[in-house]
Amino acid sequence: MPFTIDWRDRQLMDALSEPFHQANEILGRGFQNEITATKWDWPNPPLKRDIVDSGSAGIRGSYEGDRAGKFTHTHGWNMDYAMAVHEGARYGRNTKWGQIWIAIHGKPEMPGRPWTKAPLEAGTLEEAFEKLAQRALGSFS
Amino acid sequence: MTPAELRAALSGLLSGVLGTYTLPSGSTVDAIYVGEPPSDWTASGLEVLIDPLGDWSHVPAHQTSAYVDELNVRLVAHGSVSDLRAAERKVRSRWGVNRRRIPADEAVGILAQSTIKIPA
Repeated sequence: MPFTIDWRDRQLMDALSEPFHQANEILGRGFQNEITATKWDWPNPPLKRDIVDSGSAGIRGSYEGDRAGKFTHTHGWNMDYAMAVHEGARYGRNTKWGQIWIAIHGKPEMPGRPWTKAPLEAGTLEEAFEKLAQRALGSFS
Repeated sequence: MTPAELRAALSGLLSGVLGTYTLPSGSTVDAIYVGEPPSDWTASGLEVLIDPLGDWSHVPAHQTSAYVDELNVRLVAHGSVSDLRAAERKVRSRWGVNRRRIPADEAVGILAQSTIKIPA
């Protein structure tokens, strides 16, 4: 006896878009919490600090999270030096800041503060999405 | 792959775009170094710095995860960025990895550079 299975794949995918974005918003809060966490090494006391005021006070305030598409979510920090703070930066040896970093730790390089690393590696996005998606699919009919 | 092995691989891969270190004696060597080069060496052109410590990333996935050993590399442009861009493309072609760009800022002395994580 022939029969038809309707997978309702489009409706299924549509139902997962909101959990995807909500999970990303949880991830975004995780990123922002890293910026204010007193966990980053500094060469002079206090030896553990946040990075809110590391010559880039606007990092936390510059965050832009955007639902850019059904399954596209962007996270950005729209300010000068954001990437330099995140990745660390090499200065010209004979520049003022190059000389400062040489005096602090022997090389003309500001250490990186990768505030996105821990939340990504902890599976924040994946865990949040699994829970939210299960809830959304549970009510799917 | 050890940092020394990566240095050898990058020396070959980037041979057409690597800059030079000028030593106090006046002699020159390719500007690629594991760790921090001596303070009296002067870099010009593209400089490649390899972190000797190595690192790893934890990559979560659905119901599983993986640890990936990596070597951190910093490409620094002392001058034109064209060799920096060419090096980024060569590294991407060889290892399929992306780069993170730090734009130059002349006001504070930040050099144009990129960071790349290469699977060890």
